[in-house]
Amino acid sequence: MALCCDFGLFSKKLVSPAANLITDFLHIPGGVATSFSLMFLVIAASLIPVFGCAAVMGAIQSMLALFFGMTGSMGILAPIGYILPGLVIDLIFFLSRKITGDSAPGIMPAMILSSVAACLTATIIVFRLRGLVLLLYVLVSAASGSLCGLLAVSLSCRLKPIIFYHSEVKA
Amino acid sequence: MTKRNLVITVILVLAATLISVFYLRGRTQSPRGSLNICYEDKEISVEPFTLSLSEVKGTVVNGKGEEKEISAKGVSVMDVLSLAGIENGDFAYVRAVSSDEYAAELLAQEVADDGIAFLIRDSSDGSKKVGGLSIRLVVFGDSNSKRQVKDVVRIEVVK
Repeated sequence: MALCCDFGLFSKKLVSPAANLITDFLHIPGGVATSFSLMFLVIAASLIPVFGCAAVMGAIQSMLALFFGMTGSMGILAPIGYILPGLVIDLIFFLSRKITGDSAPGIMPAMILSSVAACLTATIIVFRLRGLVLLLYVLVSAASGSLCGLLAVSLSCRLKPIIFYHSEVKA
Repeated sequence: MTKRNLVITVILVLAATLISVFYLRGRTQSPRGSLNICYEDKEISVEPFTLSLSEVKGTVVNGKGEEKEISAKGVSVMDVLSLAGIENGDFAYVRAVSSDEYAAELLAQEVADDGIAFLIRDSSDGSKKVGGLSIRLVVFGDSNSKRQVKDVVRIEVVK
């Protein structure tokens, strides 16, 4: 969880220059780098079957972001932008585990909906977008969320046997 | 499941592409060094830096509390609005909107007062616009940098 927290926070800074090429071209305020950053929260939450783990990671990320001054345009309200997508991830995995008994089917919806939640939170707090530009912002977030979702599904499937093997060995 | 995920991704990417085509085609792009002023359903293109430029000097503070000195040539927002025939008292507030739709609001009083809101030539993102002709909004007296808008392309005047 701690590793995914850090990866999520700092990967955003790393991929931002490349992501900005897309968002600058489309004249929207972001959405691509956020989805990539949320992927690490989704991977961790898919491997740890505890409700609230993504929200806790989001809260820790927001504290780190405040500490390092990486809050972007949200400023002091940044924790909302980190915790809300975390809650959405938790909710999707809770439902996925309840309905199918497994977290894997929830990875894709968790990625898409958490990306959309993050972009809507940013819209409400900072950007106040309307109309077509808001629709485009939401769709770009959802599309990049689904692309990262494909990666998250693959990474989660590869990590699951390793993590469960180590926890069984310890037990 | 993988096939279903791929189908969802393709649908979302196609939908985003389709909407981006509509959005980019309908978007009015202001020429370099100029901006559009939206007032009473009209869009007026003005060139702020054709006005006589004055010295814009002061200190702005960002969210971390760090101070930054501003020293540039620029024009007050009120002077730019007057280029479009808008006078003080014609509006309640204005929204300065950047190319990525980030916007900052300025009350009529702040626009009318001397020494608060200016538009300056921004050379910091010269890579985006040749010759550093992108326009930047500078607002003095704020406790954070939320209203320091880069690459202003539009000013919406609201009654």
